[in-house]
Amino acid sequence: MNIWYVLLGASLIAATAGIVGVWLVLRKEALRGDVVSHSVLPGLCVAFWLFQEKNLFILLIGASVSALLSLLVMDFLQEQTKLKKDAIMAIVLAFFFALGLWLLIKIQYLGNSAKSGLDSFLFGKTASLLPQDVWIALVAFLLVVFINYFMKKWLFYTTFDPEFSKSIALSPKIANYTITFLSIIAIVLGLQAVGVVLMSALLITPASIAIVLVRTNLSKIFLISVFINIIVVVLGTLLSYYFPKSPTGPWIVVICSLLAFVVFFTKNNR
Amino acid sequence: MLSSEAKKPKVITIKSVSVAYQKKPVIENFSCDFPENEIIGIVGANGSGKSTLLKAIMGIIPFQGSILIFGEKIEKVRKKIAYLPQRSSVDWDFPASVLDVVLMGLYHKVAWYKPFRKEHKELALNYLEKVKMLDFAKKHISELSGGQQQRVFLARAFAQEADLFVLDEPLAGVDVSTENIIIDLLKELQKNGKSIVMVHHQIENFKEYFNYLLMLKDGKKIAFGETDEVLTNENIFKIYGFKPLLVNG
Repeated sequence: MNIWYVLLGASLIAATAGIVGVWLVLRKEALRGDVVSHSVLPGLCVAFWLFQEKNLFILLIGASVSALLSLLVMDFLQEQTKLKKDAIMAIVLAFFFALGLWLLIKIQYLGNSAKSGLDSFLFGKTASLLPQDVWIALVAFLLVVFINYFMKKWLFYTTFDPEFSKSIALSPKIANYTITFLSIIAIVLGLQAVGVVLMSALLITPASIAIVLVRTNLSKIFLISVFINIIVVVLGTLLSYYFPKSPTGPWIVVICSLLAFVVFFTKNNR
Repeated sequence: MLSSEAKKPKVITIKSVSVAYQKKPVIENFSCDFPENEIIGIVGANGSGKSTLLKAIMGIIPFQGSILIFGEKIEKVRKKIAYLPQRSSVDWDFPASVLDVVLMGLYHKVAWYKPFRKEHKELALNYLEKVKMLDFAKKHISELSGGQQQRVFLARAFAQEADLFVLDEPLAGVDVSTENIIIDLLKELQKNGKSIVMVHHQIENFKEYFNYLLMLKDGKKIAFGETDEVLTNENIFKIYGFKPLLVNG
């Protein structure tokens, strides 16, 4: 496929993650994003197993179902046990990811020729983007921008001052559902670029850089986070073209993390 | 005295209210009527249920019993009430400028899905001027001192243009000049016919600040009435015990 299409798709994926990641960092839910991204793997595999093809739309549905399931399990454990939040997240992440790996290996033994497509979900391969994937990425990006625009005050107020928000009838619960919905979209989409294992870096790292750089202006934070993510993902995609055996995910995450280190240290030395 | 009190219109009517956190009762079978157009102080040691009572009044925690505000359920009168939560419930790292915070108070002028316009920003700046914080409009909220932060949040409450102000420790951690500014503003609100209910800690200023006092201990009412009547050594001893103001927890 034309490299410009791949780059366009990758940029849309990056922009989507860049927006959603800002909310995850601001709401101190970075780890929740990690749980969700690992938990999509079993859903992806089951969807592939059932339909025997790498159709992004079907895979998205499978991934969303298992992501939601992981969130429900987390909420259930939190209500029913005395376990701390971080322990619950670690347990759920490991369980869903293990289940996913087990299914992935099963599928590979089945010897389906399309299995290579599934591999790219583990470590990311933007080059495997199909034209229809770019369309799906565009729709998802526009949906996230739309929701973010209209829910901005709601998400802002409930994150910043939840008690005040309740007093003016803006429910933090609805904000929570919105963020969950947005992160599932961003994660399932981003799997193509960086894969399950490194997905949370695509959400969290650029957002953290933007927050450290900008500080007061929320709109600017969104712009910078999106901008950084697009640059990094495009670079990573190009690099994995020049070194054909290398997956995109590690390139993207290494570049972005190096950038983050530079920013964090120079900014902290004020 | 008592007869004149009975005639006064009530801003808040609380009838046998109980609140429990994880089955542990915090407020038990509490009843009280707050008169309109007064500055009412809610006082008591830490853990006596002051903040919980305010949250129940605001309808943001579940409770048993009934609370009416202006004779209505809270859902019908939210726009008439400005609530200032405790400082600790705010995320001070959030990328919000001073102006952003005051704009929050203007939520009733714009639908939640629409952005604020220039006229709202000008209005917000007016309220900042009122609390003498105009020069700080573009600063990040964490760059301010505790007193300055509290003034900004009070400006937000004023921007709500409410008839009832429910304030959870507006004077916590503020400097003397801020305390004076805030108290003057609250007295001005009262002059304009508004009602104020606030949680307060410092024992010295009860008489100076409040027309009415509600004294709480372990979620129960020890005394309620005009400050002159209920501010007795006996009552102070009842709510604070031997070591007033040093109790923690």
